[in-house]
Amino acid sequence: MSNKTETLTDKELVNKVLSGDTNAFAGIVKSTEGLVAQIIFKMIANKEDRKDMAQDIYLKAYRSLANFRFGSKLSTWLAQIAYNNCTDYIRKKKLVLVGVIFNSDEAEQDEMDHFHHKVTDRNYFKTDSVLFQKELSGILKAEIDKLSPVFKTLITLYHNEEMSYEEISQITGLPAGTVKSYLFRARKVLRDNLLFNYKKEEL
Amino acid sequence: MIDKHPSEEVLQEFALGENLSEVITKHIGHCVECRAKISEYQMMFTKISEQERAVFDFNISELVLSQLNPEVKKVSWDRWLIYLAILSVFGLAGGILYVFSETVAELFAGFSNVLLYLAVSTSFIILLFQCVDMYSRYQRKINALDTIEITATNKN
Repeated sequence: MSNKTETLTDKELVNKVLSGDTNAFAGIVKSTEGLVAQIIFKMIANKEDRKDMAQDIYLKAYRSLANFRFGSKLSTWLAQIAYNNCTDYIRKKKLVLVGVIFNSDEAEQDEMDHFHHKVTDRNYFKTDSVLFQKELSGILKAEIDKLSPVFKTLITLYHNEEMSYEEISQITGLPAGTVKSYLFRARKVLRDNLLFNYKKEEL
Repeated sequence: MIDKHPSEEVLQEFALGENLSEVITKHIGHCVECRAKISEYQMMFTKISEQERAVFDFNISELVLSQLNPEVKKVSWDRWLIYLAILSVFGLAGGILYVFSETVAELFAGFSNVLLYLAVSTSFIILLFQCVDMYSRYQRKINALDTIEITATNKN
């Protein structure tokens, strides 16, 4: 069934769903659940809330499908619904939406600056060490999880989903310039925290 | 030759292969610090792209399909019923006009043609707007009912 739906265009799929073919909608769900899951997991920490959110998103998409004007890919439109629903959830819960989470307080920040100034030897980033590779992945995952929901989502959409700034802008509703600026900030924070934590662990 | 180091943004763009201007490339060619930063960014980007993708630990397709309202089709039947109702009204009005055409003609005998056409077209336009308004109010109520139904189903 999924192979059949993959060969259909977005327009054909939508028309099938609007004429009452729920299997066609199941195909849409299957082909977009990866992207929607990426957004939900990055925006919402609570497991139970993620399940409810996923259902809400697809039900909303089903009800609004008649209003889809093919101004973007169907997957982009769905991702947009997912992102908007998640930001509404975060606002209702009064959580932090955008913002940079540094390692900790001022003392640690001073230490980090001091550390940067002292750095001359960059050999600890040797790529041939298997242990280093494993540790780096683990530390990186932890540091990504510390970022704010929007920064995490942008990093994921750009680097994991390989979306362009324009596509991300369509999904998030943020201007492309803002997407670029947020990504720069998020990457810098990640790199700084990685260097700081990795060097700390070594010591 | 650039003496100043490029900004973090430029270094990131360079690491992504997005900003490969000759001037920047030249600076990076002889700047150990900038080369090291780019190398760190490139490694980080590789590691980020290798991060495990999120996957739902439940069957989202099944969950969603079980909640899809099969009554979605009902709306199209309602639309046909409305068309039929409108046609019936016009048919009835036309029939009455035809049966009582002489009486109607006597009634409007004193009016000029222009006035008559103005009165008829104005009445027709007002009737049309009222029908459109009725239909959009009906659709809003149906959508509101759908929302309540879905919210109740999710809570269960």
